[in-house]
Amino acid sequence: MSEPVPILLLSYDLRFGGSERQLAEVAQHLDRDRFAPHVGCIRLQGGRRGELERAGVPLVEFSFPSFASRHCLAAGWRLSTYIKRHRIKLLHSFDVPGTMFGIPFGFVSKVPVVLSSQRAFRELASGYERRLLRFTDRLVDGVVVNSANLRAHLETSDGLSQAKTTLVYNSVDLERFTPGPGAEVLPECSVVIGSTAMLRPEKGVADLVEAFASVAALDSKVGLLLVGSGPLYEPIKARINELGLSKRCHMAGGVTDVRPWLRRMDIFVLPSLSEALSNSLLEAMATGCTAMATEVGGNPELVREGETGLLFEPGNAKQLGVKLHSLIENDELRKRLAASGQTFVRQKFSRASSLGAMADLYSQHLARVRAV
Amino acid sequence: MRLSRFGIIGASPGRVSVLGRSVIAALVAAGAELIVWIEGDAEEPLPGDLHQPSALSPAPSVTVCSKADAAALLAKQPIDFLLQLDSGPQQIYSEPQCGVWRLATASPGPLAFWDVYDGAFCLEIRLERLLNGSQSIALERRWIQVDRLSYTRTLGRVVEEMSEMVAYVARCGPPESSDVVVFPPAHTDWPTAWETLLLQVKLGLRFAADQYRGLLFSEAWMVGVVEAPASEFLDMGYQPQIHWLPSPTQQRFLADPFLVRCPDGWLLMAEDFDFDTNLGRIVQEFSADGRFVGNVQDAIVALKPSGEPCHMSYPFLLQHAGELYCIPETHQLDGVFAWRWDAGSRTWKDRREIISGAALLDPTLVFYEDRWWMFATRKENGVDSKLHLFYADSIWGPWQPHARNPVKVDVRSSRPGGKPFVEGGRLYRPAQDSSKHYGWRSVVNMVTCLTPTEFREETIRVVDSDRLGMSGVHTLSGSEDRTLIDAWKPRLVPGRALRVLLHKIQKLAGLQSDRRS
Repeated sequence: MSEPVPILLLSYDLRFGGSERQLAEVAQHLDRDRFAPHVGCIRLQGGRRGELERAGVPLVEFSFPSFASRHCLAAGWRLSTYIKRHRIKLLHSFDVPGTMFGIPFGFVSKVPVVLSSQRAFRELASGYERRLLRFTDRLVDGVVVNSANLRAHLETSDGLSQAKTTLVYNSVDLERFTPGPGAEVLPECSVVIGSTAMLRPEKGVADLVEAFASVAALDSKVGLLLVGSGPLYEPIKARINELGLSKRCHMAGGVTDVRPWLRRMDIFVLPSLSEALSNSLLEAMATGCTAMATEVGGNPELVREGETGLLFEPGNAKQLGVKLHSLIENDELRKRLAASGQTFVRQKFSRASSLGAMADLYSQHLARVRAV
Repeated sequence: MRLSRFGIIGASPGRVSVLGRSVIAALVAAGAELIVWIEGDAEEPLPGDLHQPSALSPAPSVTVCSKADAAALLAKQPIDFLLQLDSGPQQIYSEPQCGVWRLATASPGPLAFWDVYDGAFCLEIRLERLLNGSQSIALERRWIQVDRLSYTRTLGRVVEEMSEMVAYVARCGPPESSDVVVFPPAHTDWPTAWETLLLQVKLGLRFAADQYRGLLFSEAWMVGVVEAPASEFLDMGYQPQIHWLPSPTQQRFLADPFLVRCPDGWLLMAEDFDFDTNLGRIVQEFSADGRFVGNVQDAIVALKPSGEPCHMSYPFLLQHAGELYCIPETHQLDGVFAWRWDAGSRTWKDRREIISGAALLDPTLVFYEDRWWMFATRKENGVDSKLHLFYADSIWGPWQPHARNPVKVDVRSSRPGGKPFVEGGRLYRPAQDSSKHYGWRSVVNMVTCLTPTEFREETIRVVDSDRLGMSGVHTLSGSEDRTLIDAWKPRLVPGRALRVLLHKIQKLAGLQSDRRS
């Protein structure tokens, strides 16, 4: 049997984020008879560091304070040396800093296959980051995207040919995200509406609060559960107090395990103004929540109107309120959408299918290089 | 000794490498007995004359057999574990109860060569229990510092640590819980003559750079105040706003700060290090409104039995049973002591011993899950890398050493570096990363298992000095909603070269010893 192919997966750090989760899953669960994954970070920190270390994945840090610093070049030299020393055959970056740092140095180090990832709309990146990402598009052998919508958008907005991009959907751990006993909060509420998100402007959580105020006025048994921290935590809390809803709202802040909180939610709302493919939405649907999401990015690939959930216009709190009310009033509809959403996610977004797609992509590129 | 009978898979007892001899000697010194030798392939050679295969001395009375006869022999002569030293394919036997073990490193061979060549800061060594296929269980993993100025010294360190590691697992037994993992396959890239020559050039350049920095610059440590709780540092994107206190003079610096809120104000304790005397003293600054200006005063003085002042640092503060105690590092006194705060006179009184007969560095206490725990490193072995743990029902003892001491060997995150804190029900332990150099950066570890027989933690946050515009940081110490850190950057000191050279000459001539040791 041939030796497993050494591959290097890159990201900024190993926090509990979507890109880092995807990287950690690939590093831990890719077939070790075929691939020998290494993980490189600009900052070797975050909650996933421990699990990767325990899994025997070699971790390496290429630390530098900023891209403008001379230490960035030194870190690039270390990356180049690491590639040579460990005979890395494929380099794959999972986030924007990983791409901006790793792709140029991977290219000049003559790694046979260089891949990047685009897991969010580039409009969220700064001007110079976007220019650099367009530059790295030319250096890579392929770009992995996580939604069909993003793939099409990259072609129109950045001229990135669909022939160069590959769609690999995010996956959800179906063994962990299952229905079960929820967190013991909002005991008086018969229907709990909730969301898990970083509390930043683009996540649109303020719209959810306004929509909740309109349904709360109509139904006294409805509660709101917000999970996540961020710069808007205090302003949102203040707005909830201002609306007189503090007794019917619970803000859990940042949590390490989101599952008990999702299990307490009957309706999960993703009010994001921009989204490629939301892990939070996937996890909520797998848990059995009825899904509502804005009609942006990859959300419609998960939430099919009236089939696996309901969609609403981004920023339209009034429309969200009306649709929420229809779900609260109609138990049968809510349960039907939750069940079909759960089945859909379990069929299409398993870890096995996502890892299989990634392994096939790696194998195709490596086979192409070997054939040259 | 839990595992006392062992066997070896290796070339022959008459041809054992430096590493093999060292490992076997460590096991025998720890009370284990070599029972069986299974003749296999040769060991992985080391470069140059470092390999030196020779016979075991004294020659052990051991039953030697071939691989073909091994299974039958092991059935007749029960042993606890087999250690595979040879470079042949991995061997699995069902007989030894703790399986077949193998030593490995994470980097390509020859042993430690490329780590030194590439200028790595640290390297991983591990002891694996082999399973079928490519799977194994990591019995022990250690991260040790690479001596970037010498391959020989690095190799010596690796050999010593690998030997200790095997004896440690034999003494303590395999860990209670271990994951089955697949480590990437190892390979060896023999250096060319050109690369071996280039290594010498690199070592020479690194030595010159080291001397240049050491002769002209000193570490100018500073204490900084952050108006945020220590838990804020758990946020990966947190960029602290730091108010730096001025250093006392050019010849002194403040470091190892700790802070506590008293009924009538705030008390800051720190180490005041003097380059002239090469000694640290414990100083304090009291502030009624919490604004510190660096106007410190002597706080605690201890003398060695000879009457000379004792080097003191790391004034850990502890509030317990209505009293405030300061527990500084006093390794020169071979013990840990606590001083009680007298609020009336604002002085430290009533020295009381906590632990005797142990030269502990940076002793850090915390009450967690109904016990007192003390984290420290030891002066005599692994000051920056080997974490020792003690526990007791009362801070006055008796303190019991943890069953698996040293509970962790990792130069990146072992040595205590500030006050532990609890957030969300989890215990977090600030520690020092000295892999690049002493005082490089701080890390925060999340303790995931803390019992008298088990200890595990994970590094989840790195506080990098370069993000603070500094060259090093090594303490992170919170009190309520404020946190103190210390950090340094190089300071050009006129006349330092002369002083350092003089000091070196005096040391060589035996006229002066390092007063801190």
